[in-house]
Amino acid sequence: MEKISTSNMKHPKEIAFTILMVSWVMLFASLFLSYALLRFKEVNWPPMGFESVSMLWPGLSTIFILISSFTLHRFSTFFNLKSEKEAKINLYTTIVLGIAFLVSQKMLWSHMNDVGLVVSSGTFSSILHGFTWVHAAHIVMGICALFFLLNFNKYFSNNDYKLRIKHISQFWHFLGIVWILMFLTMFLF
Amino acid sequence: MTYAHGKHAAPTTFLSKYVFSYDHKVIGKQFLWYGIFFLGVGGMMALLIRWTLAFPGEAFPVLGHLLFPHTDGVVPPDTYSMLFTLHGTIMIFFAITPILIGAFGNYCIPLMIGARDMAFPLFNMLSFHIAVVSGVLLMASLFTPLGGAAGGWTSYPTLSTLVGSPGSGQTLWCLSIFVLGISSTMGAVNYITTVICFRAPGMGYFDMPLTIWGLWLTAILNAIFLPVLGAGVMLLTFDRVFGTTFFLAGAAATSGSGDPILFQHVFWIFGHPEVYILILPAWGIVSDLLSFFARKPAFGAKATALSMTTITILSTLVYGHHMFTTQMSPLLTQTFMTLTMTISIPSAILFANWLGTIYKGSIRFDSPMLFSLGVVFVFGLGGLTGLYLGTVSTDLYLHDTYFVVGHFHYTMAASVLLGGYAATYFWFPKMFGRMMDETLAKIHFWLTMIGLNGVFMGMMVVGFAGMHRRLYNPFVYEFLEKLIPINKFITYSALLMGVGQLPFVWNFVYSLYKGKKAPQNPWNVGTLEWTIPSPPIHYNFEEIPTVKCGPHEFGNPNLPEGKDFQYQTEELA
Repeated sequence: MEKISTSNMKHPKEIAFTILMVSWVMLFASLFLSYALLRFKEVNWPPMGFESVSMLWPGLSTIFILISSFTLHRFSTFFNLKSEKEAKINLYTTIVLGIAFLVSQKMLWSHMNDVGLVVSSGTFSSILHGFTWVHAAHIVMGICALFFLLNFNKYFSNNDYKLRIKHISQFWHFLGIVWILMFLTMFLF
Repeated sequence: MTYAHGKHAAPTTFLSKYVFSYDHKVIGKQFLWYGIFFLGVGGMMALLIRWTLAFPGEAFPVLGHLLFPHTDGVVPPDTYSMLFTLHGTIMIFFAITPILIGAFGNYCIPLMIGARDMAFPLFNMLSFHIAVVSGVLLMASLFTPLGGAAGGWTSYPTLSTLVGSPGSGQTLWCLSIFVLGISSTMGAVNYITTVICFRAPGMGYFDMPLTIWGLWLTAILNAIFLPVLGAGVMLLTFDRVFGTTFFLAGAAATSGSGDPILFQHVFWIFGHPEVYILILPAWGIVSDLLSFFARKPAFGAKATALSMTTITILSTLVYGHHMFTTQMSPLLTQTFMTLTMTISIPSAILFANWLGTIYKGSIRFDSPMLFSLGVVFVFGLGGLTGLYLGTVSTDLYLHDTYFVVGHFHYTMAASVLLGGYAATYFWFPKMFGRMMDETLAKIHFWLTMIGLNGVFMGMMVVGFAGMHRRLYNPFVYEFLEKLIPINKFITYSALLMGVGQLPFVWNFVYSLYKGKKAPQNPWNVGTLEWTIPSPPIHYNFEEIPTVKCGPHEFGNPNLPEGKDFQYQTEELA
């Protein structure tokens, strides 16, 4: 295997992942731009005839994703310390919380349908449904990526694996930040 | 820190060699064939469009009765809308993009920077296969009960919503573009990373050929702005499939109002950089070829690279000039107009550098040079006519006329097509190890050049006379009747251009098998790909080269007798 010296350079995977993150930022930024344009042209928000959504499920989603970010960070820390047991607990907790997030999203969609905010009932519900779908689809990708870390105990000294953990963590935290922004702008205010 | 270059075994089976290849050279060729196929499909659609405009109500010769038996060979109005929609879509996303970016990006980047392959070969292979899926989705849309997408390549709502385009054709169009966006983003990630990490020792950014600069900047724009289009077509798909109302307004929005103009914003935030995504590789290639065939160093090569970079940055700030007629605030129109005009400054520097490069050069009029000079001419015309569309007062009159069509064809079609041909003639010997026939290439050039200028110049004339685009039969309007003769002239020019491609097809296919064996460096050029055999060996270089000088070193007095160029690996006293 040919080795190339990169003393002053980041690993190609780091550069590639940074570019991918820029692409994801642009995707969600475009959605937020669309939301902003649609919201600010309305006199009232929610528009006349629509009630705000109950905070129960979005609130639970927020709690789940915040804690999952924390546990994933702990997993990364324990992995670097080569503490297999603690790392395993935190990774499994993260995955469970990710699934719990998806369940809470499903409950949110059911709740919205129950109160008449079906997909086709106007811009307000279009935004709530559409954006949460896109975000949830990325959470599914994130959970799949977390499954790729399950055999982490074989790679404690592998630098490439450390990079994998770093990138999956960054992606997960990014999704957390996006959700917080969605929660603040779409559900809270 | 050290890392391993993505390495893969030499392929042995047919599948691993030609279908599931990790080799950037094979993937480049796959993209080339893919692009040429769609270029043919898009070109045929163009001829059908032109026939309808020159001979409204008359059967399309030969193929007409086969394609449109229910109308006795006449192109029906709804099919006409599909034709101009898919012609634009195919040419932009499925012909130009795969040829200039997919084929030459893949083929040239590792070879010209002295790398063995792309940074992520598996990613690279998947990028092509996903592009194939996208192409299949698009072609499948033609066979749906209500036909393919018909809302124009821009797919503005409400034309592109269920109200304007019922059926699944437009939905498949959205999916196809989304999938292609994933493919192009994967390619872009690979290109950017490869250029940053895998340049040969000694190769600084300004030692890179300008071709690489163009491809690299294109990849950056792709990675940043394709997701914006992705978001737009995704929301459009939601509107069509799930009944959301992001882009529906007025009577179409029975349960709350969205905003059709929102799609235009999202589309053009991507769409204007897309213009440069398409043209930057051609600019880079032409900047190199002008120097190579004028046997002179590229005039102001650093300034050219920096101009391209400046244009790349400015291209992200001007999208509003596509929307002057959407009742945008005058403050915004003037802002976008001013920003648009500032692009003229780096463009003028770039153009002046091209002229400076060929000025007093020992020009060799080989086919790559002819096509490059063609790009200089048509891009000059395309760029200048863009000023009228970037200026609010003139755009209000010219908007949505054939003047716009002529302008963007000069910049996006003519320049990029000629640039693509220049690249094909130039790198064919390296790609396939054989030379193409020069006489046929020159016949191809002149027929194409005369044909395309007849078409696109004619379009600007009829546009200036008030003929709107996308009309099935504009001549039902009395004031446009007098434009029938010039429309016939445009169509004859298009036919000439179409016929002009036959020498290329023959030359390409014949040369693949029977062309003269290509030497290692048939054009006497110093960039790294010409330091290795034609075609290159598996993994390109026996040893990674060390770069000692820039890519355009010509006429150094210390060169040995009879040699006027310096390899990038050579060091002269």
